[in-house]
Amino acid sequence: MAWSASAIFREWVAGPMYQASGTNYTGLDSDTVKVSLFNNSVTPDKDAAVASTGYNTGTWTTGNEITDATNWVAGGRSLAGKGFTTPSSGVVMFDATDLAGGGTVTLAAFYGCFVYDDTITGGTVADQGTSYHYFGGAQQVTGGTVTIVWHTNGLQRITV
Amino acid sequence: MTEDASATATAYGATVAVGPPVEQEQDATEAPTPEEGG
Repeated sequence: MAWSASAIFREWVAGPMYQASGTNYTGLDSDTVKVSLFNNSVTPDKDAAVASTGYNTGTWTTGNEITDATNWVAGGRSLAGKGFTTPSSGVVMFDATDLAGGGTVTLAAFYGCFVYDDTITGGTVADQGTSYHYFGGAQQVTGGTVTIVWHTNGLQRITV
Repeated sequence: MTEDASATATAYGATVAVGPPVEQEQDATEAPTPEEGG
């Protein structure tokens, strides 16, 4: 399979959003949230079993991860400027500052990113994923800078 | 009239911006000029 869409993990909602006991989850605001890049060999699945939604589990293994030796290393980079707002009636948004590499990078083809909670150490899976985001096709950088520009609607929205 | 408690959760795609290499800072001190041989 391959990338074709973006989604929030079902198990993220069923898990930490509703049931955080024993996970060490304290909220996306206070936890360290990381973003790692992946090739097109992954099979993103919003309905994946919880045990397959952590970093280096399921399809999100380091063998599929795309890294730069210095400025986008394995495990990814931390989100900054996380914000949780209510921009309109019935809408809750999770947004963050666009995420740049640490400097000049060389990255083989990557197609999307896996966003996970690096603070989660307990429960069924550590480093549990919250969502994955498709970049619409192959991206590649050779000796340049890279920045993930989040959608104007943020990373995630919940409409109630 | 009652309203269902429903919600839709969506994750959005993102784009990637690529730029030129980050320039290295140059050392302001010029390399010493080799002394002329006598």
